Amino acid sequence: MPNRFAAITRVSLSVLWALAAMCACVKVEAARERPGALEDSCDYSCLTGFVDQYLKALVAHDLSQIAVTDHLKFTENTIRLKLGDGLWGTISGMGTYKLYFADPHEGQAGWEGTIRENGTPAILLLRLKVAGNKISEVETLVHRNAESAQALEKLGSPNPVWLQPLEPSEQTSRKEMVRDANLYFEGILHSSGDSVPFDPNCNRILDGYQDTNNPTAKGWFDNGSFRPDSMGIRENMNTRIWTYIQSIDPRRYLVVDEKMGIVFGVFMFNHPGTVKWADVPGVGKVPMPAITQRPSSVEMGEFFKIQKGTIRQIEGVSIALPYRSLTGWEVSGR
Amino acid sequence: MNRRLISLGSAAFALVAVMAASRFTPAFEDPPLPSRTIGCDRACLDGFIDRYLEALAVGDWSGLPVTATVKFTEDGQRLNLGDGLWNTATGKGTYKFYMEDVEAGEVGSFGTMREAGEPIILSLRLRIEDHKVSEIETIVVRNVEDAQNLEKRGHPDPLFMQAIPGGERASRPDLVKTANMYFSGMQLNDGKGNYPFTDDCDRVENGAEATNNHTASTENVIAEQSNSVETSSRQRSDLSYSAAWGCKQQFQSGLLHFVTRIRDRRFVVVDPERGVALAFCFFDHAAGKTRTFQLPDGRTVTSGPTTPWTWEIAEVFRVEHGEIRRIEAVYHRCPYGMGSGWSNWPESLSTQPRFPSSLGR
Repeated sequence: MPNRFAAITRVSLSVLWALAAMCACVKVEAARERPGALEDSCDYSCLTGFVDQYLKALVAHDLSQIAVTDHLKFTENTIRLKLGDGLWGTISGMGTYKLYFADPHEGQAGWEGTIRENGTPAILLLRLKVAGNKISEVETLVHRNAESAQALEKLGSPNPVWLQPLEPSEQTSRKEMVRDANLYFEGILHSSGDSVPFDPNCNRILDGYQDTNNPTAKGWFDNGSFRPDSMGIRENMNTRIWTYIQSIDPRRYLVVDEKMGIVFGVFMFNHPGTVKWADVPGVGKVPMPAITQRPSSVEMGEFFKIQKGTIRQIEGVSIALPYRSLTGWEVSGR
Repeated sequence: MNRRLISLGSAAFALVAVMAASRFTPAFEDPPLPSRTIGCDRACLDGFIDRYLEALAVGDWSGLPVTATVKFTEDGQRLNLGDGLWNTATGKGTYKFYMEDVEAGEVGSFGTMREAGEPIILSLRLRIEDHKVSEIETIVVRNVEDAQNLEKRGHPDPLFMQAIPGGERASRPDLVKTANMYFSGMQLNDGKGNYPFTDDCDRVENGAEATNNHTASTENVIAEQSNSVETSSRQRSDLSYSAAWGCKQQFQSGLLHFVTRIRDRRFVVVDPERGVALAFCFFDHAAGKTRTFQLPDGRTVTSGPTTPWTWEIAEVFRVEHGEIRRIEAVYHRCPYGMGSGWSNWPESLSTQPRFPSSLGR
């Protein structure tokens, strides 16, 4: 396959891309690697307990049920709101799908699950930061699409790989976990699945929809026998259909769950709308769908199962946004 | 508001402070404009819009006179000049409506463009300083049907261009005060406010007639009615909002209650000579507790959007003798609570109107 990255080893690419990430002003914000940081203040079950408390208070529309810091910050779909606004006013119940992850090192926890909003299914992605046994940050993505939420619920429960703690032999360092997840985004930008450490069984589920190894799926890019959603993730990435994504910036790595091998972050995909077709190896020019031919951004809350230095599974939730939207968590705005 | 109503549903805000704010009548003092020489009359300001659109249509801003610190936003996001629609515009459209504020050096426009060959609506604001563009604010409505509707109208209502006789002109603050009553009357609308509309008031939204439109079907915006009221077909009809109604009748219906907050009201163009005021702002639909409310006749209803979301809007008013006679709006949906890129967070949440002189530069 004619790919300018295919012949380069993964190791050398890692170095190149790490440098590129630093030099090209791509904001890769990783959870820090500092010994014992907040470990003693709130452990794994303490953090997931905060998630449960938050969700219980949310459904009850009762802020008094959670302890928050004086300067708590809350965003919903990148927008800073007062706690109590947004989904707090509209949630009507919990759904059936849920997945937790936590990072005692950083005092952060995450949750993906389904909810009901005025009776309609939706997907909620939640991140909490806990400091001094109080919630100091609440970041939420609410994917308001009943079909997506129902698709997630039809799965019954998360893929078992998410629920299986890593064996000691399967663990890698926090830094390596983030590096491996980050290679995924570099692979998208360079149309180079060959350079991403995918496990052969890796699949991706976005907004409840499996867009790899899915023979019945009907994707945006289907063109005759060219059906990228039916391909494995490596092959899918090599097709160059993702070239309409100009940048994935910033990349905020927020939760590194060493116990479960999960890296969770929030990532902004920017699409200037200038790419008209994909030059698919072996297929030729495939027109880009109309939706990609106008400026837009998509914020993706995405998590990766990192096992033995490979990406075993990917799942995420997306929010469509105006082009070049901020995340709501910039240190200083533009 | 008709199409906005129909396509949304409704919402609400539970904060007492916000409710109080909706009834707050601000003190409209006459804030002095910054002392600076604009030196750009109406034709000069229009010329800047023309030049901008010409440059945009060919995607080349290199010939556009801009200040070294020019700021550009598209749909509330700050971009580098040359990004966003500059990358994708493929031509000009046929509709254009210019609004000038010679005193403040601000000029706004509603118009149509082509993007990847398809019609779109562009709302544009330029600030001119020393014969250069220092601020560029845009809302791009990427909806082919809306853009086609605007082009079918051919031109804006001529009333917007008509000079107000010298002795009848409102002051800048009074113009804003009257126009702002539209926003305050709609926010958590209860049908009981003071709604300063002329009897022949008309409103156009993204090219569609939103008032006095007798070809429009009656739209029932009421999703549910409380158990305390028996729901007969007649009552359902009473609870329907209609584009066939006039401006005042729509506001007196109390059915617009679902617009829970109209915030970041920036009156960016104020033109006493033509009685025109153009505002950029946001209509929030919180979709919470205030979905249930009382109509002026005492009936309790539950209505409106079931999820929180916001309209990003540019809306222009023609005011005569202290009453609103014409309204035209360009708007699209945006994330709930989104900011404009021109206000800080407290300003973004505020329901107080701001004049060009009070807009932070």
